[in-house]
Amino acid sequence: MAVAVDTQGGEAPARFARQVEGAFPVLVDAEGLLAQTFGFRAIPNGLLVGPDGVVDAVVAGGFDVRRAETRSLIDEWLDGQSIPLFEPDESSWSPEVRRLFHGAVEALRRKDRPEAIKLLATAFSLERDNYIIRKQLWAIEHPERFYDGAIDRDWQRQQLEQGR
Amino acid sequence: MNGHDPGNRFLGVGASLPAFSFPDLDGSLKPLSAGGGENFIVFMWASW
Repeated sequence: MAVAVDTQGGEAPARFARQVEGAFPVLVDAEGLLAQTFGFRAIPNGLLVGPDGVVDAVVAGGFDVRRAETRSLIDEWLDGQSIPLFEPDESSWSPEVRRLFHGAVEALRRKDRPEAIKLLATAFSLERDNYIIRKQLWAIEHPERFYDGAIDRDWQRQQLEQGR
Repeated sequence: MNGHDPGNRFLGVGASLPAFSFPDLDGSLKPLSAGGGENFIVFMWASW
């Protein structure tokens, strides 16, 4: 099960996810509910869920099956071994930040991009360690860096260095 | 479980997977628990 976070809805994630569709379900969490519920402020993350529907492990950040560490963790979990915890240190997003994020999603549904940018920028000013808000803001402000071919990682590094 | 937010309970290890449903790529609502019944992984990602 893959859950894409994108305030703009499913169109952008679909460009990537159509390649894996069929192998597992791909859902779109525009509101960021899962991130808010588990306190994630960056992506990618993993929830390892047992047959009883109980979360056995929360892996905050760096959850990537291309990485040997992630694959080892999954193997240990499937073997029934206890695995280390990688839960977020912080609490969930603040109510004000959640309100602003929700407002941005609503603004995008109305095609009001300037309002969405304003709300996300305010949310980011309140929670500077929230990379989900930060990168979502970048993607809306600069779609050419994300959706016209490969994601421009060098540009993202420059933005981080400049504190944007 | 780390911390608590009164407006949105903060979950962690040992919690039941929340009963969220999200649209799939075709817009059909599907429960987050769609992989239930056996071990499964929820992978959160973004196209940015």
